[in-house]
Amino acid sequence: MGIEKKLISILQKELDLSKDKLEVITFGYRLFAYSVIGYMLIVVLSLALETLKPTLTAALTASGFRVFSGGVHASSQKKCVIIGAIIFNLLGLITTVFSGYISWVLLKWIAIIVFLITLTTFILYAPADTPGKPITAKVKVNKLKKLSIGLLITWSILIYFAFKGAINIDAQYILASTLGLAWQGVSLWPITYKWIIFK
Amino acid sequence: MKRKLMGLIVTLLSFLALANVASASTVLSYQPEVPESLRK
Repeated sequence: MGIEKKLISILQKELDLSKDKLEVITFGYRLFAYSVIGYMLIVVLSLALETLKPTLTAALTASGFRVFSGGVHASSQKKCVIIGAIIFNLLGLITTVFSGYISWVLLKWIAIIVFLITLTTFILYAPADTPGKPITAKVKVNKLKKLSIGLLITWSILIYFAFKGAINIDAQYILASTLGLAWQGVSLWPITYKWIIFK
Repeated sequence: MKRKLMGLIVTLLSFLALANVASASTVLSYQPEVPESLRK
């Protein structure tokens, strides 16, 4: 990665950083760059498909939960970015196509079922780690599990008030967010880690 | 000025790295390998 090497070498020359500090900065830069590239590809593809808002809603919902609950990653950066863009655009496309045909009652049932399945998934598997970032400390596992469940309950309260009409959220965004959450739950399942596309 | 800007970049990138270490995973994209110095 050309930009990465250039940036790190400039910072090293100017600030005379230690080897450990350089490692940390390189890691931080990669996190930033990979996320920007990931979101850019999602946005570009969704603009082409004219599904920007539902696609971003699904991606942002999954991203928020992912911070605490983890989930499957592909074996390389390129694969991860491409798979992410395809999945979230697929969710955005499904939302755009079907949201007009789904009644509030059906949407409510979809949200309840996804909530229950995801809650069970979080209780059983969160946080799901990756080889690049193993989570072994029992205290950290418990903390992240509690945060995942707490965020899920917060999400369900928001959705409850949206269904009650206390918060004005369009059905399309509720469906997109629910699908984003559903994917996030699936990404924690041990069987998903075995899917060939992530290898 | 240049030095201050670089200091800010270093601070922001370090913050990102530390926030990721405290979390379960990256928000969306590939999870790079956590450096040894942050695993301690």
